[in-house]
Amino acid sequence: MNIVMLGATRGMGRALSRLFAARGDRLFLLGNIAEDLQQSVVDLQTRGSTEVASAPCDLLDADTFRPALEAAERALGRMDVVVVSAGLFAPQEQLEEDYAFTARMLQANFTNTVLFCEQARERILAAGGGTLCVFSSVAGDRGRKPVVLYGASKAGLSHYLESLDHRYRQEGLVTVCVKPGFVKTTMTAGLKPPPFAGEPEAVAEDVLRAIDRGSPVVYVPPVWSQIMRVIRALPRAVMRKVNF
Amino acid sequence: MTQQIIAGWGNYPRVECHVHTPCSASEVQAKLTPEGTIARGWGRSYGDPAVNERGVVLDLTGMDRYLGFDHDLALLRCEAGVSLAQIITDFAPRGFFPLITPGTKFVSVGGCIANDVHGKAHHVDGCFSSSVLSMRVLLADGQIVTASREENSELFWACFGGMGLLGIILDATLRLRRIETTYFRQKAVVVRNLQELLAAFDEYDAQFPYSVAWIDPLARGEKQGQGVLTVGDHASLDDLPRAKRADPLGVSAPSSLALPFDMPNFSLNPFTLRVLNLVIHQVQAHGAAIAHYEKFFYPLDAIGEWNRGYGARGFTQYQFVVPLEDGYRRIQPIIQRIAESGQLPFLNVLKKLGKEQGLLSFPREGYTFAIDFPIATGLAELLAELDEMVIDVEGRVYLGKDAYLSAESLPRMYPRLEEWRAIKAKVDPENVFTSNLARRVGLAQ
Repeated sequence: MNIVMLGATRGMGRALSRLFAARGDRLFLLGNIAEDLQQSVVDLQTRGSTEVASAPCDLLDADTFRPALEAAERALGRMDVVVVSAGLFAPQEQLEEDYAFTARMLQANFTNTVLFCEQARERILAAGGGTLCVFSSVAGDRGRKPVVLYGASKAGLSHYLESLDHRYRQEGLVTVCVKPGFVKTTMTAGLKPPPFAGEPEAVAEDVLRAIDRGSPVVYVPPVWSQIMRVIRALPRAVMRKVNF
Repeated sequence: MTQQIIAGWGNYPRVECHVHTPCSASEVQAKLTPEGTIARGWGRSYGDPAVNERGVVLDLTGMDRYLGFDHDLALLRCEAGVSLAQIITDFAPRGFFPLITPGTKFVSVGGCIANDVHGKAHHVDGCFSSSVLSMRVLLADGQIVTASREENSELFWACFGGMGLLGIILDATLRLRRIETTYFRQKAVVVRNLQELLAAFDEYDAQFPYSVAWIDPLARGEKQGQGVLTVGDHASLDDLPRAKRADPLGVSAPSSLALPFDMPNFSLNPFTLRVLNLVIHQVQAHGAAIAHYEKFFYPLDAIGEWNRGYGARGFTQYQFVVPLEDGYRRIQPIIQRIAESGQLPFLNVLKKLGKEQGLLSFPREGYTFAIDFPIATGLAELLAELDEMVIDVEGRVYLGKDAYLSAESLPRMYPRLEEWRAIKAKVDPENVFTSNLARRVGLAQ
């Protein structure tokens, strides 16, 4: 398969790219730091991937999306799967103190991710179909105290991805919305891992399976599907009291 | 930046630090602050070299990318957070193995360099430095420089054993060993006392590159030093029994056994210790003639987080080396003192080491002995006493294991310390790189 990835240089995206490479998929990586991108390309080549290339793309600069996707399509012929795992995060307290970063976070996680997906959608549908796999978050499932701002960006994204799947699945565009609970990556560094924290490698296996099956929503680690079912069912009065 | 309480492998001391986890060189560069930083890998140093009280710790385990592999020259370039376990998983099936490996595979390449780790074949292969061709180091002024035997060679040699205090090692080029199989031919020799043991080392050294001895720490008098010497060498394809030849480069699955909790403090007492040591003796003395690398190199890795077996109080490992010449006279009184100390020594390993290498590298030609001690009242005093005994016989202790050595003792153990300090003053005059260990033994402010 031909895979395009935005966000493969780190965390879950990095782990997922290694799984694609290990089974012989052709990869095209998009990212904003040239040296970092090149190092990920070499990493995958060293692991045995014969076809992997890259192009610059900055999630905070929507003007880079078109040339990046064009380069990917040119290199691969057609795009079977487009994965977006890039995004920004900071704890709520930090976001409240840093208006500029909050603006960037909202821009990256919602507006620009949606704009990137829109361009990917057009190209995938024009080529006859494929899969769009986007990393949202369990933070978007329910309004919660510790993730007021980050959760809002992901709620919008999850909503968009669900609608997209309803609207275009019959035409051949499969949308996979990944909802990580707590995964031990750079993004969550320094936060105290809860009991069900996942490792990026194990999470990547689950995501790969979801892509292969075309599951519209996948919680990783899977236990988060049960946890969120409970949290979604809690009355507002309870949510106002608790601190998760 | 967030506060976290972290510790070394010995769970002592536990220290509050600001921990970052950058996963690329550019992120490390962005995180560099003048306020005092130390890099950390997989946290297998025992004491305090990778903790930094109220300072910054850069956890580099996210820097796990390969940056190139030359099959013909067996050269691997990789980021500093890559572990030997990862290298083995990915390259053993292709016929390559780390040239030098310590007793655990869960160590980062950066950590191997900073501690200049050694393995059971030190007298033949030398320290980890033997396998390193070059490295890229982020210096205090924000510059990234390449260091090798030819380029910035002063910095290159000072980084081995330099405890991460000269700069942050970002990546390295390593020479790997070509292997036919992932198995070892091994032989166990039971010895009745220390004299027999040292003689056995001499006898088998010539025949086998790998050798290590386990000794009973509680045996006294005539039995002092009784134990088992295990020697071995890489098995060739012809050495393997027919059944194993189908998959000669097999890599084993990750360890499934783990100690999920700290054991209660009372689980290690003189009685359990006796039993454990008896069991180890039995296992060691009856090892199979052909052993997989997991059993040969990493018997303890099979029990994930075995360090928690020492309880919440934690433990330390006292590892020292004494010169080869007249070795028995030098080492015997120290082992005797340990047996009589009333502390609970566990896991006693004796090895013969070869020639000296880096400026602050631990190994020097001689005999090295490593003992684990649970943290207990009176231990600090005993270790201070042992430090003096070690210095008296021109020995030294291993900083990668240590949690107690004083700033007064260090210069008496490492004769090239002043050379190293001159380099530190040149590349990091403001002590941007520092750690608890560095401040304790006087390697940095």
